[in-house]
Amino acid sequence: MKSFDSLHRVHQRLAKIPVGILLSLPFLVQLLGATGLVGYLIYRSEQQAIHNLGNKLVNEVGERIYQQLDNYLQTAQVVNHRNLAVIHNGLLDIQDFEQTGHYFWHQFATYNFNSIQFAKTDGSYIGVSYQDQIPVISEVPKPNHKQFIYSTNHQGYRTQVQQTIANPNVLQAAWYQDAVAAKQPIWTTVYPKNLSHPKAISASTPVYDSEGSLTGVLSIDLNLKQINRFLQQSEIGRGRAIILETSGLLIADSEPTEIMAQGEQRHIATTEPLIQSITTHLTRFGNLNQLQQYSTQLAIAEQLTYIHVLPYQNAYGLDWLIIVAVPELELRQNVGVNQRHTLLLCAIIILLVAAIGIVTTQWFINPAPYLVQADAIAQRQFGSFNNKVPVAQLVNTFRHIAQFNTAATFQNRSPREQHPKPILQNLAQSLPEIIYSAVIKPDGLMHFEYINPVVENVYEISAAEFLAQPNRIILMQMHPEDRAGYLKQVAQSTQAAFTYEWRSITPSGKLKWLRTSSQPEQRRGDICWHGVILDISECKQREQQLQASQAQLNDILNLAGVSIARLRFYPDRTFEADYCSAGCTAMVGYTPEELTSQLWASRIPPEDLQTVMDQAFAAICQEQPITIEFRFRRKDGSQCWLADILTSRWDETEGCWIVIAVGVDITERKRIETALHESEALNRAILNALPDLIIRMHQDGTYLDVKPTTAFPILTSPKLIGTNISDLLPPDIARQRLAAAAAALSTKQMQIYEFPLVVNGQSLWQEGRVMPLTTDEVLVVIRDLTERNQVQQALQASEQRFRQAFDDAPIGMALVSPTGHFLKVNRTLCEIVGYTDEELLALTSDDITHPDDRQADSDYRQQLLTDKIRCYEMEKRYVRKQGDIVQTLLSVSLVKDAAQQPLYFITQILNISDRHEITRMKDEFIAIVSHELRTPLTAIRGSLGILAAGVLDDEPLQVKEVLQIALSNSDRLVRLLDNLLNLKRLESGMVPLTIETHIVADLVAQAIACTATIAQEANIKISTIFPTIQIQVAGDAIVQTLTNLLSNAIKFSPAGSTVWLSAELQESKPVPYIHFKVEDQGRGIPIDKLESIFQPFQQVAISDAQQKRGIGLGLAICKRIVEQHGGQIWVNSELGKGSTFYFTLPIAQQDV
Amino acid sequence: MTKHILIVDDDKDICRLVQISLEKFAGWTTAIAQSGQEGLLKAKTELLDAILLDVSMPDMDGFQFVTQIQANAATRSVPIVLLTAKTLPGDRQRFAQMAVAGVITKPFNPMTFWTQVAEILGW
Repeated sequence: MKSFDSLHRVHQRLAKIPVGILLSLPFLVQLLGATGLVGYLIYRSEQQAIHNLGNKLVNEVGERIYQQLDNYLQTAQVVNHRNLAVIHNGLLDIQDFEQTGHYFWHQFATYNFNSIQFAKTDGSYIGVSYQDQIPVISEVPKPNHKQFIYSTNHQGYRTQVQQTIANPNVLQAAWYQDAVAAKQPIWTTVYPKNLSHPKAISASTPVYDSEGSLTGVLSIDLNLKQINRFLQQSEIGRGRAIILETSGLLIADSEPTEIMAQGEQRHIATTEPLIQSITTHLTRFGNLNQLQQYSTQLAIAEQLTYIHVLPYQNAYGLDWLIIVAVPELELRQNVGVNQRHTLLLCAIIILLVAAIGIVTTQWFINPAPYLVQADAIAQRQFGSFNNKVPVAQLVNTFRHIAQFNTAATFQNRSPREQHPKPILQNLAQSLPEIIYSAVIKPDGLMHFEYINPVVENVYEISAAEFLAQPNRIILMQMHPEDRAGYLKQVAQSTQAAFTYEWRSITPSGKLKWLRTSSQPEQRRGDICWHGVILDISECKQREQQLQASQAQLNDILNLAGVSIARLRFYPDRTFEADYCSAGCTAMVGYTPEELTSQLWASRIPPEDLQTVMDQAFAAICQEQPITIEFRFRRKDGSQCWLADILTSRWDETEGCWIVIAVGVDITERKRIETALHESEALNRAILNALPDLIIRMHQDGTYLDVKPTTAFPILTSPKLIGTNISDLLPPDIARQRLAAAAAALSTKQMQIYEFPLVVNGQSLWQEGRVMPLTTDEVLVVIRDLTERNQVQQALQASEQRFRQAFDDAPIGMALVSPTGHFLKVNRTLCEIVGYTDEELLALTSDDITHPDDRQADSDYRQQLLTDKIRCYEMEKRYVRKQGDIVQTLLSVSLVKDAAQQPLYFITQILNISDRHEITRMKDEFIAIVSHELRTPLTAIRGSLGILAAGVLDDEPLQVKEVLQIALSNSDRLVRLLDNLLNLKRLESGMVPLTIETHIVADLVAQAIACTATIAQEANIKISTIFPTIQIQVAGDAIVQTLTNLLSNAIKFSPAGSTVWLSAELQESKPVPYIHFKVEDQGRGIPIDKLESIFQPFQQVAISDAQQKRGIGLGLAICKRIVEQHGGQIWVNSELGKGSTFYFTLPIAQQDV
Repeated sequence: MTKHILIVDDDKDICRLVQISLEKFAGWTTAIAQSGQEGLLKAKTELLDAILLDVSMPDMDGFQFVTQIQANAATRSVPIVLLTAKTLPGDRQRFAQMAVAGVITKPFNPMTFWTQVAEILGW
């Protein structure tokens, strides 16, 4: 009772609170609460943003450092590799230190190396390095010699010796020793180089000669300070980037003060708290060299620090860790400003909204005093009112209004209260619902006391008709299925509120959903129900649509290949599924009931499970949405990739996280991704392997991107990007490329052109390929053709020389297939064998070989093919196309291909018919001379022998006869020798002709006198006709010519016949000729001998010499004499009828 | 016992010197023929102990002459000795194939010439 009192007192106190305060205060409280909540959420999201930012920053910085480090280190190995190739190709003589030093200097000028060097195994050394920021060339010219350090000029040539160092001993250096030990390209261990380079590392590669023995070591030193420099440039503010060797050695540090003392190698176990914390943390995972890429957050020096660890390993033996640490404070600085802005904004909003709220409240409660005043007047309570209306007063006022209105609704109202009735009725009539009051009589039938006209709309009959038979109409229009329920509920409900929904079929055939709600009022044994009937057709319709839509949604979810599950996830990492869409079953084959957390865990490969669980759990705990991707073994055993998108919230009541998991089957995507990765890696590898310079260029000539290549070190500087081609290349080349770009863009076809370029004084020949890329960008691929062009030209020249040598060779040459077919023949061979090129190529070697020589040739070839001999030579006869035989000297060798398979024979054919002929002629000459000398000698020897024996002492006549024989034969001998000598002298041109003016008649007379004796002996008559002119000739020689011709004619003429000698003058320019003719009636000369009889020792028949006492010198002598006079000699003849010899002489010698 | 020899050579000087040599130093009798035809004729008509034959003559060479001597039964038995200036190895091979008793090369020693002939013919 006491408590009731105190409650009452509180109530009374509340009632006295002014309405304005009562309305304003909760509003302000709500406003503050809402703003506070918003502020808190913003703060939370910022925390999350910082967290994400921190992770992303350390990841990105780590990746960037990795790329830079990789580029920096790769360059040294690539340059080494290139130098090795240059040495092996013979382009650089590594033994020539002058050249090598110069070469190194140029490379040194191109790349940012600490030094480039080469040491031979004997201790001699050449290298380029910096001294006081200036490149110098160091050389140990000979083993055990001093080291000279030369300063250099801008062209890289040595200028003067700057310094000499005794006992340099380069072979003890780590870069030399390590490479020799490894026998392959390596990175050395980190070693102190000198004061300015406390930490250096070298890319070293051993150089072997063609026999595989070590020549020396090529090496490029990198200063690790350089790495410090780009660590410092990694834009992490107060963060820290360090590179550690997995052994613990500090390689580089972004803190500039951390350069270690000389000779000391600082290990990670130092007092540096950052490094210590990180390494302590990392060593928990075991050995540092097994560490994978890793991110975490650590509290270091009471600072939350984001850590990212990235291992760097390469094929040359480096095993480093890149560690990036960024303190949260660094990130918070930026975000802190945002926080202040947010708070300020919140405060402004609070003030603004509070002000608006207060003003609105005031405006709202302004009428309250008037209302209260009006009510008081209505209640006949007159007094004074102030503006601050207490709550209780306002409540009372409202109550009075309500009571007044209610009373007016019913019929037993007092006359005083009658006037509000029309108002309520009007109100009821204007409502869209049926409002009614009905009394249930004991007979169970309803008697309506009031119903508003809306009934006419709903039931589609007039209110009067409805009221005449309400029960019947209600039941009649009610859907038959709903009637039983309705009656049942009506029967049951007596005291409690009544609600029922049913379907009503109106006279027009419409189906309407109706709902009634009514409250009972006990009245003298009857129950009066006051209620409304609502037309809820639209609601029902919407409900049905909603259900249909839900069903559709379910179908979509089930069929879309997406699984949706609602899980309860407990802190012990188990979960239960509240709901699992059918898509889940389609995806993995398990029904939602089967899919327990144990089963789920057992279907994920064990090696993935821990990671997936950790990721998922971490995200769920932090109520962060996460997408986890994992492999899952389906019920049928096949493996698929699933991606689950998890969103979680903590449910305090259930003590678990409610997780919505949306799963998608990403097997196909993973497969494509893998393929794409492989393809991308392949593309990148191919692109990197290309020696070409690739440029992405805008059509206006601006470089947009450049793919670096070692083939064009000068042209691949990153500075080129953004530069215009006209600033880079000579104007004509730039114009040419721009034209090609325009053509490529307009035709959409690749344009290829070649151009010369002079780089560093070296003339290069390059090929440009311009391909359209977009509407205004092209891809330019530049390839160096210099070497190809040189090689091609050299090859062409070489081929040309070979072809020329082959074709123009003065000996016959042929390439013959192993089966004996001619593959290629030269002109000389065609001439030797008398066949054309085409005819020979259709024949085999055997086809034109003399049958007697075929076997020997074939045997030799067989021996070549079976490697028994390397080449052979033989004399071989070919049968010429004309049928005659040509004697040749054959020289054959075999050419094989790389696989030692025979390709063809190279055959050289020398025509030695002439040689044979000469041999034959020589033999014949010896035979003739021998015979011709012996005959007179025999006579002389015989005569003298007889005389000497004295057997003719008594016979003086016989003595005289024998002496005469001896005498005439010795004359004959002298003549013979004279002829021989004459010919020899005429042929050698040793005897100048003594040209004098002679009368033709004199010359003819002398010749006839010389031959008179033999003509008489042979009984031959000589007949002459000649002009009476003078000619300028060597008289003796012409007499000899005429004598020889006459002698021959006499010798071969039958006894009793006539020899004709005639001469006539022939007018011709520039000098008239005299034309001699000697005609006989002898046996004639065969046609094939007409030419050759003028050659020395040539006679028509071998027997002629013996028969006619001649050795075949006469005509040869004639020919020489005539030709020396500038005339010609020839013969016409008919076998059996006689011969006519002609010769011409100019009548005057012009130049004598 | 005296011998009767036919000398066949187109060179009349040689014929004469051979004749003098055989007659004066050996005391044989001789006949001379300055062509092949003449030689064949004399071989048939005279009783000969031997023929001295030059190999190369304008009208016929030694081969033809020997063949014709061999072809005639009356002359077949007369031995022939070649007297020639051909001294090369190829010539000797050809002579070896001829049906002759022997070969004497020019120049010859007129004093001992007859002994060479006698030796060849086994006199």
